[in-house]
Amino acid sequence: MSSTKQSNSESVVSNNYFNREFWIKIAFVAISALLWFLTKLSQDDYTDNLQYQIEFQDQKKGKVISDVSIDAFNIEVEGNGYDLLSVNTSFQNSIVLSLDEADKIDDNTYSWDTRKNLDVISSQLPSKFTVKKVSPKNIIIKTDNLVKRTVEVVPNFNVKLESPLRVYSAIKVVPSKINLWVPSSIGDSAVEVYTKKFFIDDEVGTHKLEVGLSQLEDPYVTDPSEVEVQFQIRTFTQKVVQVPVEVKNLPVDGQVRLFPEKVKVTMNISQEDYDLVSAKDFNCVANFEELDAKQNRVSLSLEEIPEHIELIDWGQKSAEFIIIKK
Amino acid sequence: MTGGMGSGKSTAAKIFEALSVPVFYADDESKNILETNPFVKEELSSRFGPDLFPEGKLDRSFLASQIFNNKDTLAFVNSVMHPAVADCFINWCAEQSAPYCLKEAAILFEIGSYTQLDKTILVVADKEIRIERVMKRNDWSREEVLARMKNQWEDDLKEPLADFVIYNSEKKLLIPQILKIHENLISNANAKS
Repeated sequence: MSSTKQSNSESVVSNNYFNREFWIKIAFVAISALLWFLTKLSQDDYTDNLQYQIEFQDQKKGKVISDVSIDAFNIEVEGNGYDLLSVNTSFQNSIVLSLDEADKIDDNTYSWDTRKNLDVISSQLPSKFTVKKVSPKNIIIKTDNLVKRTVEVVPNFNVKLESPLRVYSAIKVVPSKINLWVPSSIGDSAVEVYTKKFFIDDEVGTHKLEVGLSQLEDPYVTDPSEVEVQFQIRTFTQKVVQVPVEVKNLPVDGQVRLFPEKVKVTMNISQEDYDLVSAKDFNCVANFEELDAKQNRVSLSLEEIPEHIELIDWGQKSAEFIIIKK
Repeated sequence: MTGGMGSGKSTAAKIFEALSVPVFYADDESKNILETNPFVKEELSSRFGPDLFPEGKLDRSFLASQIFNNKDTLAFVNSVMHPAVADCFINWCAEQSAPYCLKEAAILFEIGSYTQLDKTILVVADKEIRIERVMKRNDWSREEVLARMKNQWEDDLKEPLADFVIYNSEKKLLIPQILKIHENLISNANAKS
């Protein structure tokens, strides 16, 4: 029993010793590898192919770029390992080109020669890089003329109102139309521009807000760049009126009796307008020109409703009838 | 002519009126009697006390609260009201010169007053449609409608007792059904005279 205990104890000592030594060796190997890697990176004789996105500046007055033959350059460079590593791990590599340096082919076509403007490219790369090759040789840039359009401004809003508060009447935009400069190719399709989103929340009264127009990319210029939106928040309540049905285009000479003769109109209305709106402000019509002979019912339509109300329901949409001939 | 709440008996009555048939609206007349008939006022006051006619005017909400969900009280009010309404109807009929006239009442079969009439017309509609109509018309909740409907008989109980049935569930037109009944009643009236 005593000999078994001794044997176990030796095995534990041996395992501990082995583990510590093993990890120390591993650590030294790792440090050596790192030092070797860092030494290697500091050398300047690395060659790599880099991709750079292209951006343009100095756009021609009254024009906008409509198409570019490529989105990015492939640049072969020689340089320091650290710089190459930093460029390769960067997410935003771009080179800005000036349209002033491009050759004009025709009124709306330009060519940017990469070889002729190699120094422009080199100047935007890390200084230790030597540019060996840039492809493609030429970038073809198409432009479009900007044209002025007068477009409507549409309010873009989010209503967060607790009942019984509601927006009273339509939201007014001042000015309601603005000038917008857009590429001629889409000029006719530009009919409206949205405001930036604004919020309408619980506060009874008249409100005026200065709101910017939705983000349009340069050079989609708007004039003015801000508008005023005006709206009212009022407390609404429910109202019911009985609206008599008006008969139109009775096909025979006689009297007609409709069932129902009145429709019940339920609406939400601002408290200020409660006494101002009555059944007279509505017009419900039974038009016998649109009679469905098979159904023997005449359709009812609510042809007039007053402004600033929110219609909830207006009863049944057809009526039975008796025509009493004269 | 009778029918449950929301069955459309008032619309049917208006169509009869358009055909020059005089219509006696029993419910409207009841309201009038409650306000004006001294015998009725006295009988009801002796049961409900002075709160029923404060300052001489009927307190309808008080009366409604007394009879709502109380069958005995409802039966008492009916026992006072129905003979008065029946008398009023008889007097009104005597004044009419049309071949026939109609009595429109929410309850006819339930109180047995149909036995005093020559013919009975029942207006029926699907229960769900009736509930929806009353909810819309009176701005009541579904529960309120159902509580009031409890005091009326179901249509299938009334149908065997009715001479004519008008179906008013929006699938069938009302006017053709009414014209048919009207012709029948006119020929009956002519045969009698």
